Amino acid sequence: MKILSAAPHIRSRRTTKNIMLDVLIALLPATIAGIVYFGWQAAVIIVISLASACFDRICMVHHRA
Amino acid sequence: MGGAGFPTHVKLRPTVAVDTLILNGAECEPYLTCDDALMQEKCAEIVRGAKYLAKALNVSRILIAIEQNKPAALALFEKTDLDVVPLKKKYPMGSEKQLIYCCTGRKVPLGKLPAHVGVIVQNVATAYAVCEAVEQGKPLIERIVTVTGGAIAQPKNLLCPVGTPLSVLADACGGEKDAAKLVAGGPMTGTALTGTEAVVTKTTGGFLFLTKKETNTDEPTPCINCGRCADVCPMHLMPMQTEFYTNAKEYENADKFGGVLACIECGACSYVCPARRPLAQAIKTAKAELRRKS
Repeated sequence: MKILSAAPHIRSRRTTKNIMLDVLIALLPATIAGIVYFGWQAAVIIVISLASACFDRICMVHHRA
Repeated sequence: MGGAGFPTHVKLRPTVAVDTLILNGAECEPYLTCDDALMQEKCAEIVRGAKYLAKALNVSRILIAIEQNKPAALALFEKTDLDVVPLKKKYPMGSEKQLIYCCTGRKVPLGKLPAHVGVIVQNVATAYAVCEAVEQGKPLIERIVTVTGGAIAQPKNLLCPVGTPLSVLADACGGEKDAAKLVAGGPMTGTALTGTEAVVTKTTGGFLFLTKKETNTDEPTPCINCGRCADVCPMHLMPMQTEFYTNAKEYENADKFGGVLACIECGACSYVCPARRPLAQAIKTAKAELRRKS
């Protein structure tokens, strides 16, 4: 059975995933500079914010399901 | 003979005065090369056909618009006495309103025909058909069809009678292998087919045998508000708004905030969407609903 769907049938290679990967790459220098200049406290803040963001997303996904 | 299939005899009887005839040699979609093939093979016939069309319309200015990715066709037509307009390779250049704007700088108002800005656009294949009809009395019984895609062994442009089944064309091109999707027309506006029972019609520019890798099989993800769809829209609409209101079944709001009726259904918004949202599909849905109500 062939796939049936509305036009267009081709898509650009750019996806949300690879856009967000670019965002992460762009943030990398700032992250490194932050840790170099402000020390371990900057690293702690980054880890806490990442963890809380992940926790929030997981809660949202479970809440919707 | 273009994708939309607007009747030529209606175009040739404009209700207002026109001063320019544009021959559309900008292939309307990626993948398709049938117009390019025709321009390279039948240059003299197209020029004669254009002159018959110009005589019927009583205009003296004939432009032929060809995209710059067709150097062979451009070189051939530059030797003729038609005015050649080389166009940037950009989608949707073959669309009538965009083509007129690029060639003459005139904008066709919403709901009006090109004749209202003094222009008539005809496809190069139409000019060729007119030439054959005038000189040989031959009706429109055949056309050039592109058979291509990653799942076809030997992609070809075939001159075939209207009514030829797709299965015959596939065999003539070495057969298909693992096609995930069959499309009648181009990849941007064509219709998906269930099988090879489809036939060539007067407006079929091509048949595509797309592999799974070529076609889109991703599920849509949430909109990230990047605005790419609005960036690429040739009619300057806001497809993300249209989709949002269409999903909520608020079709009037979809038209008010996103723009529905001006959509030329080129599919550029869905093509660029990084979240793979079916934007063009939503606009078509809203359009159908609004037309049904009015």
